[in-house]
Amino acid sequence: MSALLKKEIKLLLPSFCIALLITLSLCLAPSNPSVSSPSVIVMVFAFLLCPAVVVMMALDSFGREMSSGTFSNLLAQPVSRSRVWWTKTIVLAGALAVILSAWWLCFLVSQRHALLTSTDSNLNEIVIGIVLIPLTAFSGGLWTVLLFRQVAAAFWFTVIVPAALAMIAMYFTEKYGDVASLKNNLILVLVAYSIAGFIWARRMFLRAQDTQWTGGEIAMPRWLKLPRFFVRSRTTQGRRPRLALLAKEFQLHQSQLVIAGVLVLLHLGMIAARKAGDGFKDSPMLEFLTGQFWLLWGVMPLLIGCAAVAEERKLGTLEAQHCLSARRRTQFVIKFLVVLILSAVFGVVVPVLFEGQRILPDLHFGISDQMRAFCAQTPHGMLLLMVLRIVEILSP
Amino acid sequence: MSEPTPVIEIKDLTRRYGKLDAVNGLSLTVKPGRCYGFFGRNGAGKTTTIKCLLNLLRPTSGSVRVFGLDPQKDEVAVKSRLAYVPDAVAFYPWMTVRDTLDYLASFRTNWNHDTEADLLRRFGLNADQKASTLSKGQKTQLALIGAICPEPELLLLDEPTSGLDPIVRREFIETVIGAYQSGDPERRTVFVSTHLISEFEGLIDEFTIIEEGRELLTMNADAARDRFRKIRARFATPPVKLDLPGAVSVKQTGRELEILANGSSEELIAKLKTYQPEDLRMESLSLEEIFVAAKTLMQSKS
Repeated sequence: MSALLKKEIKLLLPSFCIALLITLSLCLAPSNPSVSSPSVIVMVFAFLLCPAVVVMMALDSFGREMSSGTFSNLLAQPVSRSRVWWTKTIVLAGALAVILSAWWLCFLVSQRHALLTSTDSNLNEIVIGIVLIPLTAFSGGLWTVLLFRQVAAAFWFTVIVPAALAMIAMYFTEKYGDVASLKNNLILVLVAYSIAGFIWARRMFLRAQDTQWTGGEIAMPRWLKLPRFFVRSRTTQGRRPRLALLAKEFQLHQSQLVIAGVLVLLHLGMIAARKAGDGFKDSPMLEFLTGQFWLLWGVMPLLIGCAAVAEERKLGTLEAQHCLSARRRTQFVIKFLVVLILSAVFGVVVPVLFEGQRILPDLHFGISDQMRAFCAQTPHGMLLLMVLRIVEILSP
Repeated sequence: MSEPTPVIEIKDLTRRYGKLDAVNGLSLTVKPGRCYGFFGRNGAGKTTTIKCLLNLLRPTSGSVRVFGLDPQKDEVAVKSRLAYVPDAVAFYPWMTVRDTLDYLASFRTNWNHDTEADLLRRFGLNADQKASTLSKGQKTQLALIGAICPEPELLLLDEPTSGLDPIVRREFIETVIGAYQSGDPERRTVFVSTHLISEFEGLIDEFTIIEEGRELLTMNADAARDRFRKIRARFATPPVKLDLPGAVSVKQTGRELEILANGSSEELIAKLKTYQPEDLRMESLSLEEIFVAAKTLMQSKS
C-alpha cells in the first residue's frame, strides 16, 4: 500500500470510526411490530445523524490537513495534484460506502418487520434519501472546505446549499410542473449538484494556493467594531484584564458570529418564502423545510462550545493564555459565560424571537420598550432591532 | 559552450495580497552549483517569493522558472528535482520520525539511507518518537533530513535554522549543507532565505537582498566584500566637518571615525590621509554588515 494511501486512510480513521459507531448503534433502535413503517428513531438516523457524520467525514478529508498545517507540505511534494486528489476522494468514497453498507445492515437487522410490511414508496424514499444525502454531503463537504478552508463555515454550507436547491426544485415543480415528477426532479437536481460540486472541488484543489481567496480567516467586517465599553480595556491606562479577556472571547467566536449572521439572513428568507407561498400548505416537504428551519439554530450552541477551546488550540494561543497574569479560574469562567451567552442567544433567543409566535402562539414573545431604547444606543442593538422589525413584517 | 540553464530565474515577479504588494517587480537568477543567499528583513517578501517558485502561490504578474520549467505547468517535474524546508514545519501527528521519513521517501526516486541514518544520529532524533511530541527544533531537523536524503539538485531553505540550538545550527550549516553541496558541486544548488545572515557567511557565493518586495542589491559575495569596506580613522583631535564624498555613512565617536565605503574606499583613504590621522585601517564587512550598509545606502538615496 502506498504511503500516500496509508496516510489518507489514517487521516480519515477517527471520523470514520465515530461514523461507524453511530451507524451501528442503529441496531439498538426499537422495532415496533405493530407499526408498518420504520420508527422515528430510524428516520432521525437516516435523515439527520448519518448525514451529519457523512458531512464531518467529507470535511475531514481536507479540513484536517488545513487545520494541522500539513496542506502546504502536501502541495510541496513531488506528486501530481491529480494523484493526491483521486487518492483522497477514493478513500473518502470507500469510507462512505462502508458506512452506507453498515447502515443498511443495521436497518435490515433492527427494522426487518417494517421492511417486510412497509409500502414500496416508503422504502423507496428511505433508499433514495440514504443514497442521495451522502452523495450531496460527499461533494458538498469537498467543495465547501476547499472554498472556505474553515470547517465550521464549510459545515453550514454543506447542509444549507443542497437543502436550498431541493426547496427551489420542489417549489418550481409544484408551481409550474407536474407534481408527480417531484421526486424525479429532486433526484435530478441533487445529483446534478453533487456532480457539479465534485468537479468544482477538483478544479479548486488542482489550482489551490497556499493562501485562500479571502486572504485569511473568516472574520467579522471591520465596520462591526466592538463597543467602546470593551475598547477601553485595551489601553494601558486603567488596565482592565477581565474586560480584555471578555473582548477576546467574543472575538474568538467571530467566525461563528459571521455564520450566525448568514443564518439570520437565511431564516428571514425562509419567513419571507413562507409568507409568499402562503405557508406552502400544498407541499408538505416545503412546509416542513421552511417551517422547521429554526431547528438549525440548535446546532449553533454545539459549534460555539466546540470552538471555545478548539479554536485556541488550533491557533496555538492556549498556552500563551495560561501564561497571562490572570487566574485560570477567571479565564475559565469568562470563557464559560461567553459560551453560555452566545449559546443562549443563538440556540434559544433567536429562534424564539423569529418563530416563537408561530410555534407557541399562546405565549407572547417580544422585547420591551425599555430594551428597545437600550438597544438603539449601539450599532449592534440597532442591527438587532432592524432584524426583529423585518421578522414582524414578514410574519403572518 | 552554452551557458547552463539557470536553476532559478525570476523576472519582474509581483505577488499581491489584496492591496499589499508582498513582492513587487523582483528579478534574480541563480546559476547551478551556487549557494545563493536570499536576505531581507521580516516581511520583506522572501517566503512569498519561495512559495511562487513552488506553485504554492501564483504570481500576480511576472514569470518564474525553475530548471527552465514553469512550476505551474510542470509541477511534478520541478518538484522531483528540488526539496523544500519551510519556515513553519508541520507533520502528521500520528506518524513517528521513521514513518515521516518513509512517507517523504515514497515520493522520491532516490533516497540515500546512509545519509538518513547519519543525520538521525547526528541530530539525536529517536526514529520511534511521534512527530507530535517533537520540539520545534526537532521538527526542523526532521524536515532537513527529509530534504537532504533525496539528494535533490536544488535545496530550498526558508529560515532553516529557526528553532535549532547553537551547536546543531553550526553543525547543520558547516557540515550538513557544506557536505551536501560538495557531494556534487557542479549540480547541487542551495537557495537559502534567512535574516540570520552571519550564520551562512562562509557558504554564500551570491546573494540578493530584498526590501519591501523589491531587489535592493544582488552581488557575488566576494565582490561585495571587496566593494563594501569599513574604514576606521583616529585623529589627534576630534575632526570637524570632514569632506568625504562617496561615503555611505560616517560615524564619529570622539576622535575616531568609522566610515562605510561602497566601491570608493581607495579615494576615501587618499582623502583621509590629507587630514593626517594617527591611525588608519580598512577592513572588509561581513555579509550582515553589507546588508545594513545597503539598507543605509537605499535610505540615503530616497
